[in-house]
Amino acid sequence: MDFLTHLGMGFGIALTPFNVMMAVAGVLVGILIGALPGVGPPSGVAMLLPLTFGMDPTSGIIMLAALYAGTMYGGTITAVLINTPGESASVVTCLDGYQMALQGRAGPALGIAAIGSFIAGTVGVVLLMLVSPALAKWALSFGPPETFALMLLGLTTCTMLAGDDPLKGYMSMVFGLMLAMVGFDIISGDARYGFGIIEMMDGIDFLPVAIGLFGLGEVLHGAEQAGKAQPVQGRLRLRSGDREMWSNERHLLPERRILIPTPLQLPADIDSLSVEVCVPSSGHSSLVTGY
Amino acid sequence: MRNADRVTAALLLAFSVAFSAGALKQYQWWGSGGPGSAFMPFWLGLVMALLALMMLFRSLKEKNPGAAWFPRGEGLRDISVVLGVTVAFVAFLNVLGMVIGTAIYLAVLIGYLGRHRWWVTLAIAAGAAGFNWLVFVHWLHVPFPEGKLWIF
Repeated sequence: MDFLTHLGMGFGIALTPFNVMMAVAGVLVGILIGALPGVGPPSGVAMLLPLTFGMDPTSGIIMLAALYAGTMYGGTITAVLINTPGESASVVTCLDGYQMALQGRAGPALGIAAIGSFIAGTVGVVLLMLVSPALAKWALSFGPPETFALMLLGLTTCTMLAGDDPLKGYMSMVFGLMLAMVGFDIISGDARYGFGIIEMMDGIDFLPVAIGLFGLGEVLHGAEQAGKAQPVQGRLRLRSGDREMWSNERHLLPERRILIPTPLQLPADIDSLSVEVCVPSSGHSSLVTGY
Repeated sequence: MRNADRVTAALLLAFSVAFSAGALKQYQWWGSGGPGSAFMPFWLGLVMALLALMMLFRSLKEKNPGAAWFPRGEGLRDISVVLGVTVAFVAFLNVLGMVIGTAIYLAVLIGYLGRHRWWVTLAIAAGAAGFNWLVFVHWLHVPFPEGKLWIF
């Protein structure tokens, strides 16, 4: 029962009005920063670190955790609206979120992403707290064979993303591995494929590649279509008083019955939900961690 | 897509052969305790070459030319302009500096692709430059590439 006592104590500290306010402020600023493509959670938190100077340590950590959660969500905004991932976690959001935006349903897409990350974040963190002692012991027994198996699994699932042409999937995977060859070899220390440029020794970061592929690709595609493009029709509202918009999305949420115990479930009448409610609550999800 | 596949496969084939050959030539094949730094790039290049060959053969056998893949007319011109301006932006980054360079880049793109009026274009470019300078240079002290002509 140690776990529950500690959890309760953490909530007791985190849910004081001042700390909740700090969490809300952190999430709001984090979303703004996270919406800039290329500024991910780590760099966003590093840039906003000075905001917490002179604060009580607990509130400061709460605000930083909220900033982190906010920047994580902020990347979704550009992913959905302009098909450019704000940070690496929202690359996958581009795939379906942008398609929804093209159909004029950007608001629900953003809302679903917010609700989804709140649910996953909260449930995931509580589960992690429950199992992490056992998991840590188990993870320590991981050796090279297990690591290799994990990498192999990752690379195998990669090719599934390629869709209808497996050959191109394999090619893009191998090409990604070739890009990853740039930079220092961790065994020998040789700087591979650097061409004498110092910046290349660091290797090619994931984020520039993602932004280049998604963002620049989108710009070029847009340039080709510039003359004949039709503006996307649809309202971009984060508030959802809008019955018909949400009713399209309702079928996406049946899983909530499995994931969350009944008292915590979203109201069956999803129309009454608004993103304004959900976004600050993703700050609560970071409160739960009690970092 | 047939011709696009052919061109891509040929380019990738050349690239991967150069990749493997470069690895063998520049780096150590076998180190003291195992595979050296040339080992992995060499095999990656080889696998890529194999995949590119498979794609090349597949596209050579394909009879159906598929949908048009290369932009023509206005589309081609627009794409060349965007590509050219982007390349110029990167090339002149160290001369113009990040803030001014971004403003000019934006102005060209908005004016040309967006076909907005000149004063809208100028206002957006100036606003973006001001915002970038204020937030990133002044407040957050992000080390941007500095221009040779201006101090920022």
